[in-house]
Amino acid sequence: MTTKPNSPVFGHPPDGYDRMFSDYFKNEMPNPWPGPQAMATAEPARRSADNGIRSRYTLAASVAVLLGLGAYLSSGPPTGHPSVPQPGLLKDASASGGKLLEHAAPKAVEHNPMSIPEMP
Amino acid sequence: MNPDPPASPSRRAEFEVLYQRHSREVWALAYARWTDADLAMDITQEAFLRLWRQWEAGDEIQNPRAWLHRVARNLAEDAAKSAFRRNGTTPTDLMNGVRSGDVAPPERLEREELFAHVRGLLNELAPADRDILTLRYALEYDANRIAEMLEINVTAVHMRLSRARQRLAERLSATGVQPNR
Repeated sequence: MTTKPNSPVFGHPPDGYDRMFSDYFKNEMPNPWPGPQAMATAEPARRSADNGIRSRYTLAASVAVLLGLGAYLSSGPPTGHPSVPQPGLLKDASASGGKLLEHAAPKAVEHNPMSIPEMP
Repeated sequence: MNPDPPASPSRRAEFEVLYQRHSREVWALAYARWTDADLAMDITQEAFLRLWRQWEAGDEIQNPRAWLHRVARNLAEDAAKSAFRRNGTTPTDLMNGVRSGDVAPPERLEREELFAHVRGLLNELAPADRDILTLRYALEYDANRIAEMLEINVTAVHMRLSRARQRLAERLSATGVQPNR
C-alpha cells in the first residue's frame, strides 16, 4: 500500500532532500510507538471509587479524634492523678509567701502579755 | 449498531485494532498543524480517549477513522487557545536527544541542529504543505492513500506534494543547507 520515499513514485528519483526529509520526519515520530492510554485511564475509575471510600473513613476517624481531643482538653485532666507541680514565677514562691517573705520582711518582736515592759 | 458492551473483550480488541491502524495518521495530522511531536501525541491519545468514552456512553460511531481525524483536527485547533499550548511542553529537541542515543554526541548535535532548522522552515510553509509532507515522509503513504485521506484526487496529490517539497528544499538551499549526496 505504501511506497518508500526512496522510490521514484513522484516522477523523480529520490535525491538528498528526500532522504533528509524522510530522516527528519522519522526522527520526529515517537519510537517506540506508545500504546493506547484510553483503556489504561478507564481502569482507574474503579480504583478511584475505592479510594473515595477509604478517604471517607479516614476523614471520619480524623474528626472523631479531634472531637475526643477537644472534649478531653475542655474537661481537664481526670481526677486521681498525682498533681504535677506547676512552675512558679519565682523560685520557692507559694500562695503564703513562703521563704521569700521570711527573707523579705523584718522579724517581728514577739509580744508576750505576761512580760513587764521595760521602763525607759 | 454494535452489540458489544463498551468494556467487552471484543470491543477492547476492536479499539486496539483501530489504534494500531489509525493512531499514526492521527498523530501526523496533529503534527502537521504544530510541528510538535509531543503535543501531537497528546492530541492523538486524547482523540482515542474520547472515542473510547463515546463507546462507553453507548454512542455509535459509523466511521471511527473519519471521526478520529475530525476530533484530532479540532483538538489541534483548540491547542492554540489552551494554556497547555501557551505554556509549552517538553522541548522536542530534548526528546530527540533521548531517542537518538545511539548516535555519537557531535553528530547528534549537528543532526539536531539541522532538524531544528528544518522544523523552523516547515513552520513557514502553509498547513496544507505540512499535511502532505508529513503523510508522505513520516507515514510513507503513497499518492492514493494521501488522496483518500485529504479527500483530493491523485493528480492534485502529485502536484501539491511536488510543490511543497520544492518550497522546503528551496528554503533549505537559501539558508545554505545542502543535503548529503
